[in-house]
Amino acid sequence: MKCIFLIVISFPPFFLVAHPHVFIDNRVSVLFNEKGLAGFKHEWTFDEMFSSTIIQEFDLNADGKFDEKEIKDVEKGAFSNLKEYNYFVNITINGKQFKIQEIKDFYAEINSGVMVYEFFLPCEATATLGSKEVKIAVYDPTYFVQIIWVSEDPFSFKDTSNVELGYKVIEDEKNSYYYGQIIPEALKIKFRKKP
Amino acid sequence: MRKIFILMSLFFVFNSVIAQENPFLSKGKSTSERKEKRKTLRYPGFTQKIIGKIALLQRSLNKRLAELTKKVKETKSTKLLFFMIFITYIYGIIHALGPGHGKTLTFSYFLSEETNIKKGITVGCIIGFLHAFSALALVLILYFTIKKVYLHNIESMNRVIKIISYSLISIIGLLLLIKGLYNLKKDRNFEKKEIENLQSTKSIIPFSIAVGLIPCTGTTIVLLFSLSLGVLKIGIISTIFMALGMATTISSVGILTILAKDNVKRILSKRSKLYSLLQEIFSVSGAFLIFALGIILLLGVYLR
Repeated sequence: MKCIFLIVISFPPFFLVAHPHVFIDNRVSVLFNEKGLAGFKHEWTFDEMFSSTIIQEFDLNADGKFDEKEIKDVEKGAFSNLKEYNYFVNITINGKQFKIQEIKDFYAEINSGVMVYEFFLPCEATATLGSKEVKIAVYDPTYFVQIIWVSEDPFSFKDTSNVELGYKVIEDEKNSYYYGQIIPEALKIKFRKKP
Repeated sequence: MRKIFILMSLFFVFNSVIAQENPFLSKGKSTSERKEKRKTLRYPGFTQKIIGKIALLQRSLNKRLAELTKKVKETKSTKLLFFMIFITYIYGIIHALGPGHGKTLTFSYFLSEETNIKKGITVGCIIGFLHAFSALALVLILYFTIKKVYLHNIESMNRVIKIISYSLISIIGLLLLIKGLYNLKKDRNFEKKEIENLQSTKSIIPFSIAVGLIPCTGTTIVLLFSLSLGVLKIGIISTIFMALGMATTISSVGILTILAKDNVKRILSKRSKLYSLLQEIFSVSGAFLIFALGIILLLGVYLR
């Protein structure tokens, strides 16, 4: 006992505790096309406090709306830097890491004081007769931002007429982050071409 | 039982030295680099559950606080104001449990220096209040000068403050280290342990100020929110009670470290040689930690 105690107090193991400053509710639409998976459309609803800091800075005419130019400014000033963080998105296709190439259709709006970001993340995976497994986890590894799936209808699937699919939410232990302390909830999708 | 209790409490004490950056605004390292670090350390499963709970609690408190601030503004109800104050206090306590906020540094300092409970509380209060009031000062300065209180401006001013604070921390650590090593040498020569002289509370003030200087991002966001509603006054009230909450957490860290250290000393007090050796190890390793953390944090600012 003495020994353990000595070790513990002499070498601080730097336990970490959760410490987010920004909170996001994430909703994702999984889009398919005639070939297979096309990508993911994200809808991020921010907490009111952080929203207010960005709105004050970018809604310059203070009309409670982001107009076209303001959206461009928001994208440049408070979104595009997330490229350094892979937009907080981690995707694997059949266990292989998918590298995010680009983001399309960024859109920002204000809904009664709360800021919402929308963007499309192209991620193509051809549907084959054998099934493919795609896993998507959305989290900030630095934990400045806490991202969880929105409680109501977090997932939707569009244009799925050419595929058979199933999905479930898993505890993504492989992607546990912040020194393995936090386990994100990943969306796991299995799909194959309709025979 | 008491030891187990202290061990459990220390779980909340040790904390990351990583200074978080706002990923929306400032350039950060790529995710892959961070991942490598992740693999080196892993914590037992039960901590994940606790941490998950704390994180969700923080999320709901944050939401509550936003709603309450708006309601207080609308209704001007004193009852609601008191409730808001209570929520802010809890938010402060939980907020300071997170990385940063000087807990590891406080721990190291008390490991290194002769302390008593009074000092623990003093350090906690200075760091907690300065941490929040430094954010308040930044917001007020921007508000009354350029009238543009944006997260962007605050981040860039933060950088300067961080460099000053981390440099001071490194210097204090270095001085303590030199003092520790000097005592070590002296002790060997005389083969006699000096009588511990409890320094006055004054000696801890430079350390507390150096650590507390960094403006608290959580407080900044709360203040910007109240500004956006046009109720800076409510924001300032929130700041005071958030500061009190953070002071509670940091003081607790100080007290826990002191209790733990005293406990170890008591266990070993019958073996005087080991005891004095341990005192020196604590002193030198604590000072080295402060110095090393200061340098790591300083490098962190420059490498970004």
